[in-house]
Amino acid sequence: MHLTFSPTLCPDLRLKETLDLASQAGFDRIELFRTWSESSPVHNDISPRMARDQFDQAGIVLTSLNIRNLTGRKRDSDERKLDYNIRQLEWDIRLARTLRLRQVNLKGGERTDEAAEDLVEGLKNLLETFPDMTFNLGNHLGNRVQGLDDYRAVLPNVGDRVRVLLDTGHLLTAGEDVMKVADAFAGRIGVVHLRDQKGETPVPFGEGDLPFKDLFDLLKESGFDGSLVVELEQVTWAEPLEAAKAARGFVEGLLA
Amino acid sequence: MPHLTAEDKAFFKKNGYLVKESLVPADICKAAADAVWSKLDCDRSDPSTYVNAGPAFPSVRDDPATRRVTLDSPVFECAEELVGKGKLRENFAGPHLRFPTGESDWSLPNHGHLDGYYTPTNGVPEGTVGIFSVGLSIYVEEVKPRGGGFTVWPGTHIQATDYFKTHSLLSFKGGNASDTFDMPEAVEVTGPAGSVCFWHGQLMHTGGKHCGDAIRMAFIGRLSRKDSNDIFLETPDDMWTYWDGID
Repeated sequence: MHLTFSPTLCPDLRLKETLDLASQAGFDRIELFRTWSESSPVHNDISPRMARDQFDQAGIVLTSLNIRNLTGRKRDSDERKLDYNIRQLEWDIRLARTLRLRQVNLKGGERTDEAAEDLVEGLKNLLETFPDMTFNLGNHLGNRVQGLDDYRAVLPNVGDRVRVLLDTGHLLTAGEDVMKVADAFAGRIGVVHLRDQKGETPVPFGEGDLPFKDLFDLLKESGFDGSLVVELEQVTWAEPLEAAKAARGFVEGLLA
Repeated sequence: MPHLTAEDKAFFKKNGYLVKESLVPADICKAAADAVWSKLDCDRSDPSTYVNAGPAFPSVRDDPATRRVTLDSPVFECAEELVGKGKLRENFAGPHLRFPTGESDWSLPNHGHLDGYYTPTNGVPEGTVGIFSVGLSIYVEEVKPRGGGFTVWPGTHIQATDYFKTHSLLSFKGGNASDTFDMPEAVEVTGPAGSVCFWHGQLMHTGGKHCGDAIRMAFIGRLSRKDSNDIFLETPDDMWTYWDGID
């Protein structure tokens, strides 16, 4: 298990500044988002080569990229068009590969039967196209994969290289039992997004409902060796650096 | 025996395009033109019906004559001489027609574009860019000046490859980079049937305004390296790294 920094703490910072912040907070690994944050490797003012150089200069390893969702739909016209959506994801995955990655994180579409079919079909397609890539399938409130039952419906129908992206914050928001999901898929968890919450509100690590110690014990027992991504979304603290350091210290304390 | 000379390659390297006249044999051009004519909603014997006729992209992809234009002529081999023998994925050009407008007020276009960029209707998925090495514009009938000829901005391929060393490929909406690049004077490509313009995949280009009488009967194609999926986001110091035929 290794700790990984997430730009959720600083969505307005560009990649270089995000890497500086991660480094100052004691992280040597980072995960990025294709959309949503200014540190995206498709920001207008950066090339993949520049991004690689910035990782190297900061001494930080990119562990994964959160790519676009596998919705099966064409966003600008809202038509069902799986092949179009697959081509978008293929582009994102090729970007990830250019950034030296062999795994990406993705989520599904809406909570419909159609989206469920397209998610399974799309994952099969991507597994075939990219035989050396791993796909971490994330849960999210309102998404096709929201919790335990959804994972149970999808995972048996796709290959082992589709892993679980256990997103604790979104499980808590959806009212799902984090430990139950982790236990059900203990051997198939590819990455963990750690976010502590009180109800639906993100709080500093250790102050919310996430059973950190139990989760880490379970992950250890299952031989998990992936990323524990420290997500500090919607933090309002004035000093993000201190927040990141505190979260890292908290997790390292439990893992020691 | 190579088709391209050292001078040809040097011209392509500097300008991002190269025109070779009479490269496609006359019988192949005629067969391809005949296939296209059979699909047009105008009368071949009556040029007055050509004005604003259509379709611009007649469906002749499955006609053997279409494939022959690129693959049974020296066209594909010439492209390989630029990129490297065996390095290009086999593909062939299809018809992209421009019809007479009936207007007489001609001027060179002010704006061009880079190919492969998303628009809501062109089939390119949003948030992706289709990258290729060599573009082909093949005239199967004569294209005279002011007749809607394929138009290029020489040297913009060098500006584009430099630009993408420090910017995302996605940074141009619709491929419109005219406001970003220092645009030289455009060149309208004309020539007899069988003329071929080879152009760098990141050269600014467009179709010219058509004030002539004849339909611009061009076959346009895009040739990618077989390993394009693995390298298209790479921006090496030497922009000719993936062009074995260019020194």
